[in-house]
Amino acid sequence: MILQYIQSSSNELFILIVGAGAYLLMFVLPQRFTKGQIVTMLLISSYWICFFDTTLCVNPFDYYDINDTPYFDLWDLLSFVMFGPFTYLFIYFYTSIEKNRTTYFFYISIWALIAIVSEALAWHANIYRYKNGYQMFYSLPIYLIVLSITLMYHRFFMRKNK
Amino acid sequence: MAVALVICFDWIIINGFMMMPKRLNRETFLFLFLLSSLTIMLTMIYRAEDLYFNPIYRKISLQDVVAFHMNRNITFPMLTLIALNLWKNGQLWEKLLSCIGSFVVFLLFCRIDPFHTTFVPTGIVGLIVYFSLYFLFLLAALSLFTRGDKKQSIQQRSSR
Repeated sequence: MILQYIQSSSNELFILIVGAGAYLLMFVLPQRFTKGQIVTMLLISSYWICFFDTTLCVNPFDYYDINDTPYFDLWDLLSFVMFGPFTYLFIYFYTSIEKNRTTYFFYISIWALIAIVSEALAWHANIYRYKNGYQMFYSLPIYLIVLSITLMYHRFFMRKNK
Repeated sequence: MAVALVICFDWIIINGFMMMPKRLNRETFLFLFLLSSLTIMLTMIYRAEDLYFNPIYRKISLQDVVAFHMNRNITFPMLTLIALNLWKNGQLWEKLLSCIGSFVVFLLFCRIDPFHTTFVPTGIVGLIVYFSLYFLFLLAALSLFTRGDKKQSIQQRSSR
C-alpha cells in the first residue's frame, strides 16, 4: 500500500524532498551574501521556472504537462518556490572556486548537465510529461542560456557591489 | 502589427527608464522587476486560462502570443519600475502625480488592447482594484527589501 502511494504521489514527493534538501543545503552552508542578494537569487530561480512553465507548456506550444493535470495547480506553484535555491547554489559554488578565463564555460556546461540529469529524474518522477514531439534534449539550450544570464547577475550585480 | 507596436512601445519604455534619474539601486530594480513579473505571470494563470489551455487557441498566431508574452514579461514590469522610481521622489504631490499617471497608463493600455494584455476584457473597476493591490504589494515588498538591506549594512558597519 505504501509502495502504491509512493508510486502515485512520486511527483509531489520529489518536489518536497528535492526542495527541502535544497533549502536545507542553502541554510547549512556558511552565509556569504546579503539578505537582499539571497532573496533576489531565490526570485531568479522562481522567475525562470515560472516563465518557461507559463510559456512552453501552454498554447500554442503545449510541449509538456507539469504534475498530474495539464492545468496549473498548487503543486505547480509549490515547485516554483521549492526549486528557488538552485540559483543560490549555482552562484554560491561559483564564488567558491578559483577562476580563470575558461572557468565560466566549464562551470556552465557542468551545471547544464546537472540540470538535464535533474530534469530526467523529474521526468521519471512524473513531474514532466512531454507532448507534441518535445524531447528532453531540447531543454539543453534553454539551460545554457538561463545559466549564462544567471551568471551575468553575478558579474554585473554582485561583483560591482564589492 | 501587434508585435511591431509592442516592440516600439517597449523600446520607448526601456529608454525612458534608462534616461530617468534613478532613486533606487540596481539590486532593488532587479528585485522589483522579478517580483512584478512573477506576480503578473501568476495572476495571468487565472486570468488567461483560456488562452493557455483551451484547445480553441491552439492555432493562435505566433505574433499574438509573442505580443502577449512581451507585455507580460517586459512592458508591465518596466512600467512598474518607472512608476516605483517616480514614487521614490519624496514630495507628496510628486508621489500622487506619479501614482495617478501610472494608473492611467496601465488602465489605458489594458482597455485599448485587452487581447494582448489581460486577454479577457476587464471592467475599469476590476482593473483599478487589481492595480491598487498590485502596487500596494510591490510597495510593501520594496519597503521590506530596502529595510532589510539597510539593517544589514548598518550591522556590517558596526561590526567592523
